[in-house]
Amino acid sequence: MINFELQEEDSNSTLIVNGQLTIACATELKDALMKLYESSKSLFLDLANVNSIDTSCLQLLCAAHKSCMNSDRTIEMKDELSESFKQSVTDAGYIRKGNCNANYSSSCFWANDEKGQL
Amino acid sequence: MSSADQHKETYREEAYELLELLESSLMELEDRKDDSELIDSIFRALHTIKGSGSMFGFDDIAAFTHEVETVFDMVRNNEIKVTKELIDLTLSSQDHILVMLNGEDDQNSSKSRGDKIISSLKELLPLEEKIEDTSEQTGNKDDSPAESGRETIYRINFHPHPEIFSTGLNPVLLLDELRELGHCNILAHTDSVPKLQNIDPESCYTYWDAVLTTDKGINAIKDVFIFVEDDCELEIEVIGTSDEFEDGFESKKIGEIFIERGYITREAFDDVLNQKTRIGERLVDAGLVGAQEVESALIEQQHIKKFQSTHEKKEPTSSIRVSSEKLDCLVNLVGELVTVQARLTQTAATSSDPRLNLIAEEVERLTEELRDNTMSVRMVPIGSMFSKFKRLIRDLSGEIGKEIEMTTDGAETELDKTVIEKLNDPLVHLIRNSVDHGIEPPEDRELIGKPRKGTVHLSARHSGANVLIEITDDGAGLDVDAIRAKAIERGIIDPEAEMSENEIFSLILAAGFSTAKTVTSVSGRGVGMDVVKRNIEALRGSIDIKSQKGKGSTITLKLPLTLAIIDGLLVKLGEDSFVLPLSLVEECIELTDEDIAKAHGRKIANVRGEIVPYISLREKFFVNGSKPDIEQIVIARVDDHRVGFVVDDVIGEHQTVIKSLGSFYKHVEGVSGATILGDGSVALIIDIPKLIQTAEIDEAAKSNHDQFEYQTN
Repeated sequence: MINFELQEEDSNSTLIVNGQLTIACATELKDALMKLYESSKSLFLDLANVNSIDTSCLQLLCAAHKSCMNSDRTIEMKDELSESFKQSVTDAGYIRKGNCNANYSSSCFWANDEKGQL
Repeated sequence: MSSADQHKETYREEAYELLELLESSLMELEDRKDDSELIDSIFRALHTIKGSGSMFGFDDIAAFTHEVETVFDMVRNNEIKVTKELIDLTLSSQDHILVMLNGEDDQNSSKSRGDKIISSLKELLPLEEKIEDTSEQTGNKDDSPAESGRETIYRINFHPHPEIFSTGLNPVLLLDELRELGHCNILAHTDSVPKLQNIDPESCYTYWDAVLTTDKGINAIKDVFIFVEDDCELEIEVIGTSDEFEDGFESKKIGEIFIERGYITREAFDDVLNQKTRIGERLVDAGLVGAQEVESALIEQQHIKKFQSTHEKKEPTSSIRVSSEKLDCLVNLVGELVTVQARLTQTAATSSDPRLNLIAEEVERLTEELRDNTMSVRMVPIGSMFSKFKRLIRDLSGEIGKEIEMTTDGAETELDKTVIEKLNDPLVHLIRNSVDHGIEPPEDRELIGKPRKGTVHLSARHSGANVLIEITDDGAGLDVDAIRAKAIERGIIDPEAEMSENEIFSLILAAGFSTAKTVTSVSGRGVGMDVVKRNIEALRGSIDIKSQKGKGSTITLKLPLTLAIIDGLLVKLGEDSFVLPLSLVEECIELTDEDIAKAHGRKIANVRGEIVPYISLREKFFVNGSKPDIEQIVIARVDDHRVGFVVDDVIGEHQTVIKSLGSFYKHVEGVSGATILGDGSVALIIDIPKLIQTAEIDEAAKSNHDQFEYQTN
């Protein structure tokens, strides 16, 4: 079961997701992300209650990030991600030290800090 | 000794060491039957024994070992698998070589035993192959590392087609399978992921680079992707093998990796190289390579570096054999030096020449370092004993039909060499006890809900100035009642006597005590535990027994780290000086006449609310003269008790070189040796635990006596 909720306050918008992010809900995720994108310029993702995420949804998050970087928006992770979420990211090989080729300074979601934590 | 004999002696010593190594490697191999490094080292040991043997005239050993070596060569080449039988036979071979080395056997029985072992070994060889025919098998295989069991590094690029999700595939599962093949670093590339507005949520835009070190061969990797062959682009390349790396193959430079992967041309690379910043950054800046590619290549570089460091043939740390006599001599000299240095420091303190003080300080510093170094020269890790015991347990448990496993902890803990040698017999005895009396037969264990296999756990660790060695078993534990009954039967204790559990356990350390119903070859004769106790006490150690009926027992041996030099507290009693081992001392407080009066004749002191009994050393040692008005109580902790010792004055810390008092004074209680002070006088070293023990006995006797008197009056 997946649940998307868009919270808008002042100039911030937060997309809260509960459940598991898999390809079954990928289209829903894209729609939710699009709504988030259109709602404001200062965006947040609250994925604290997401236990796992597969490749299709990881891609979507990257896509959202790219769009924001290209349109003068900011998008950040709100709060801590769960250990199992981080494990999904690691298993998919998405953890990285630097940025991908799009080179969006230091805002990549998957970048490690010095301790190797997301 | 003639030079030929001397060579033979040298060979023998080397062979003993190799046989020990062989034995412990074989024990390890039993748990890790596929470990090729172990198999290699076993083969090398056999090979050396054979080679040196024939060189020094031990032809029988060489001939025998040759057969064993041949079998292990086949194991090395994966032509025979390692089985328990093979290990058993090889262990028997090792025993046989040992017997031959010692020259214990007569020729005929030795040869027949050797032949028997060899024919059993030959039976393990695969039927189709005789030893002469290995050439046919190997001719077919090319040298590609893909087939052999050697570790190889592969670069894998997995680029699935966008529709791959619609086949129901989760690519991460494939990545996990790759990880199971060995050590793997994986990086996902997301540069093809379009912007949110344009992305198709059900298409795959990600591709992956992986660097994998595995010994499973390239086919195992291909197998991972076998079901998606048609739905992806897959590239697998070998970038190195363990052989190449052992020969000092240089860690791959990033640029090389780029060029190999076809990201850039060599010319473009060389151009950028002529500038000064880090190559990866430069290439990214020059737009020749993406940041993602750099990261991926960096991962490969790290992976290779890691692989190299674990595979570099470990240089044997060069070592040299020294006779124990020379070492003892050295330790003695260091001891003398410490004494003289103490005198120097004392003299310098009272002299008016400041330069002397400076020099004395430096001498003190150097002497301390020399002392620590020399002590550590004699320190040997206890691990070598542990491996021997593993073998002992294996053989013993087989003999009596029990299933027992030995686990260890702290094999790297170091002990003085002489201590280790003297520990051997007591430990063997304690382990035999656990095996014989402690662990129950497998059927019995199952009946009471325990796992079939019993465990004997040996651990060693440093604790303060001591080493604690524990032998724990999960067997039947000690039966307090049986021990008590036996002790009463033997007249060792009074039937009415009230004793704590600990005290009853300690009874088993008395001579002639054994609750075993039958005497076996292994134990039960009752001559063991008291000898163990004496041996441990001779090392200035102590034994503690803890047990729970039905659950198991733990025997803890506490031994001092060094025998020769300890940190002591120098105290004065009248004209004489004494030394108390500093490791046991916790604090010093004053004792005034008032305090004594307050205690109403009982020798106790109030230390921050705690009652601490004390012993007056003046009384104990019959010191002449009258006591000072204010005395000092040195409070020591032994086990969990705090006891005070009253002295006239506490001088301070003193590096104490322990000199034995000689056999004449061996039975003096309460004194464990002596030391020579800076001014040449002798100070006796006090045996605190012993003093406490005798004081307790005295007290008990006294109160009994008082009671008795009271009753008869």
